[in-house]
Amino acid sequence: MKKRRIAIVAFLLCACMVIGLGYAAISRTLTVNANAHGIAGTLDVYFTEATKGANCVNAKLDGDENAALSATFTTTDLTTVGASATATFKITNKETVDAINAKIDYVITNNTNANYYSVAYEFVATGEDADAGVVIADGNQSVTTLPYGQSVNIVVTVTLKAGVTDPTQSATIGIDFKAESLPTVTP
Amino acid sequence: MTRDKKILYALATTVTAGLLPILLFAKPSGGRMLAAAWLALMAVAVCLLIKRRKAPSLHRKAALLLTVVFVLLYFSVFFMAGMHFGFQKTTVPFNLRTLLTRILPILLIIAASETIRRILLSQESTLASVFAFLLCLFGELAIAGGFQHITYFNALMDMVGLALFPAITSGILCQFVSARHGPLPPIAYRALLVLIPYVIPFSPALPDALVAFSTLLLPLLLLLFLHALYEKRRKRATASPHAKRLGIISAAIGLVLATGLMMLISCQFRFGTIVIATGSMTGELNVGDAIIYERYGGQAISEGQIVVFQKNQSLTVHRVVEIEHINGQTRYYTKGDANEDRDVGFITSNDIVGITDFKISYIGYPSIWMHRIFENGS
Repeated sequence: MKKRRIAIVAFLLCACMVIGLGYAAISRTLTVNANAHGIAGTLDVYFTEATKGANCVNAKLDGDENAALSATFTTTDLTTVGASATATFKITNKETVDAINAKIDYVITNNTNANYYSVAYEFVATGEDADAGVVIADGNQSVTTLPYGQSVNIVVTVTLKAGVTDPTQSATIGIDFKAESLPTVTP
Repeated sequence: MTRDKKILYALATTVTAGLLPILLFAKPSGGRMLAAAWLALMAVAVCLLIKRRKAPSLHRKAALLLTVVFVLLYFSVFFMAGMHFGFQKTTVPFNLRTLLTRILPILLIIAASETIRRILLSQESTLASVFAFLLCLFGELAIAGGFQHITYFNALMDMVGLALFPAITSGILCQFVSARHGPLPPIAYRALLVLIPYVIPFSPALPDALVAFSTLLLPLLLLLFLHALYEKRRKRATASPHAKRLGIISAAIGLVLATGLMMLISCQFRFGTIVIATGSMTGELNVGDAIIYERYGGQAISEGQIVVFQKNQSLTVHRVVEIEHINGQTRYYTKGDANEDRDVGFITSNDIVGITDFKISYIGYPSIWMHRIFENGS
């Protein structure tokens, strides 16, 4: 009888603990850091602008604004399935010497938390005079021609895709691109 | 082992094991009907194949009456609590479809499982008692809908806190009562607890933590009451008066502490608690800390205070960095200490849940681990 009492008391203590731990409210501030990188090479193709989009708390260039090879955006409060955050980074071909045109066809995304987040990107014309001659191809997934002095935007979108929003989840999303030179056509 | 024992254990194993696939794979509504059909069939088999031994059935009517009164008293207190917490409409309407798909299967599960329990308990075998406990526990879980629909943490907690734990304590009560007073009091107890919420179209909007806590304790309180009332006082070596007093004081302190904890966790009283699960306030409030906050009731808030607010259906704990009064509206701009930028937009008094009082470091980790374990394993 005494053993039964001890067992019941022990069960009660465990049950209260489980109920207390399980039902405790948890603060929710999700953080997603997205990093876009240009791979350093011989071309002067850099990030020149970073613009916040929907649900984006902060978008900025890292390092020298005139020669930024990486940019970051941060989002919080993605708590609804399907909610997304976007940021737009302008990439400019700053070549002036020898008038080298560039192409950007090497873009990869790295996602440290693919269970909860999906990442997508697309190249979009800037809509300014600076994008004259820019040719975007492959369904906006590459830039076949980025003339010297011109710019193109890359829009990065991070979407919460899981069915459960675990407040402890965070992610670092990486977008890497490489610009290569195009052969100059001489008449 | 005698032939009778073999039949007994074979049947008991079959009944119990037969419920497992229903719990794991059947959808809630289908699972209830399957479980009802299975238990009804097994109850007939048990009645026919297992010799019923004479079992005590003392104070049957008194025990039945006390059980019914106790449950009705519980529901009276439960509904009176609605005056503080408010009421909500029940999600399942009481109509013919509910009667056929839920109420009748539930009644059949309860009646069949208690009949089997009574017969197994009368065999005076520990193993048979264990089977009796398990099959009634599985029956309760089948009534709650089984495990098939559990795909996220909150659903798991509802099953564990609102079904499994109360089913265990209810099983302890029903084992005791069935062995001494017959099957009718347990049937009445289980049936009333499950069916009254179907019949009454509204229910108090109590936090799940409080409902889990009260349904966990209710059967044990009834058990203590019946035990004190009807158990014979046997001459035996009992604990000294000092030890008895110590036991009573410990139980009282434990009950007060547990009640206080549940009230904190429910966040429905003057103080609430919240676990910090993200690093936006690192330095001041670190991941794993639990903060105690005072519920917001219109108190003045100043810049620099850390508040708990609700935004996008989730709770956030950040610091107020600026306050603006525009067009009669007070706007609070918040920021996590470890975030580079302020939070998007602003919050108003309507969004504020509470003002932090103090924190307890590290104590929130088990809650975070529970969430993480389930998420990683799913």
